[in-house]
Amino acid sequence: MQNKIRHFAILIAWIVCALIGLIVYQWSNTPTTPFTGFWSGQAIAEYPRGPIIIKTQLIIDDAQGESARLIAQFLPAQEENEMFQSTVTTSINVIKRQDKTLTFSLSDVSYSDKANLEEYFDRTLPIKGAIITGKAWAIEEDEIFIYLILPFGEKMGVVLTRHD
Amino acid sequence: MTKLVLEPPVYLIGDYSYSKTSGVVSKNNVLTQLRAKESALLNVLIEHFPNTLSRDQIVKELYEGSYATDATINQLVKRLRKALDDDQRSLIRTIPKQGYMLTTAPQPIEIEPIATHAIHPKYLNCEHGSVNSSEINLEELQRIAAGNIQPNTPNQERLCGAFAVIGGLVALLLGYTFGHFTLYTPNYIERTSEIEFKNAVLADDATTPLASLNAQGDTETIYLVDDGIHIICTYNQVVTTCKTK
Repeated sequence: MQNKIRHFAILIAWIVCALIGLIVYQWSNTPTTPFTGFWSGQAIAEYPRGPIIIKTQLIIDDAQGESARLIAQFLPAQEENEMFQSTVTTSINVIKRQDKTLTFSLSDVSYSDKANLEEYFDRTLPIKGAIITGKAWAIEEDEIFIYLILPFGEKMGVVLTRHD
Repeated sequence: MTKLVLEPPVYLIGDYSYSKTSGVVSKNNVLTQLRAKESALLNVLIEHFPNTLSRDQIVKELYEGSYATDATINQLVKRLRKALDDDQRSLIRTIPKQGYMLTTAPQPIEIEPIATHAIHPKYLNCEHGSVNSSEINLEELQRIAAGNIQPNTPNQERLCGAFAVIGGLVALLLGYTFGHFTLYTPNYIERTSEIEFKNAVLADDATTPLASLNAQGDTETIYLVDDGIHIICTYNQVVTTCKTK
């Protein structure tokens, strides 16, 4: 009888250990964890003044805090347009996760050649507090497709590839 | 811990069955392990039957290369008698001035090897009267006698403890691995061949895009629905371009 109680106690202890393992994993990881790394890709978005190439670099280095850094470089896709090159650097944070939709907030937004970009887009660009919503799916382990709704209402889909 | 086995050849001596190989005696299906010297003495007595075994022969057979006094031999014979419940000296007789002899002819018998549960050495000692009675756990002894439970020894306890700890660590690892494979797994895009992709039409409320693969298995086109608008994104391994379908 004493042995049975002991075996039962050991079994319970093992179950507790398994649960602790599960909790430790849950505690030390977030849904962002599988996407940690340096991602890059390019997309072409249509604008009234002509298409524009958006070169996107996403650095996810803080999966625990669900934050990352985004560098987007804009340049006209057609040579007949006035050439310029503008870069936006920003920190992004996941602020909401509903169903499969993620909502990010942008902070520390900084532009290079902001005037040209505003002229091309024909609108004032946000400096901080802009919100991006989007969805992301994995194509392969090192390839993801994200579909974003930008602060100015544009929608953009881009395939990003992870680099070591 | 000793596993008691009545291995052939087995001799019947009085009410006892005795295995010369394993040194185990059996009476009423109760197996007892003799000590090495007791077993050796009984072997020599069997071999010399019906002759008397002198003290010199005992010394020669059992203590060659070492030293044994009369008191040593007396003590050994006394222990063997005690092990065989031969208080009346009806099995091993002392022949004054000559030595010792078995009173009953040892008869070789055919027997299937039988074994009993392992008995902790402390209980073997106990049977021979050389253990402090305070060391005996009566409850444990009864459990052993019931024949289905092994006695708990410090080594066994340690082994069980180690097993429990290792099991706990393995469970911890399994829990973590389970989390790895079940929590936070990415949503994978649905993939299909080019032919199937051309005929595919997603529902207006479809939540998962469809990707077509080229012959090399690379993603070529992604078809998704956003707020009821069907969008096709082409991907040429460098640039993604999305347009309304």
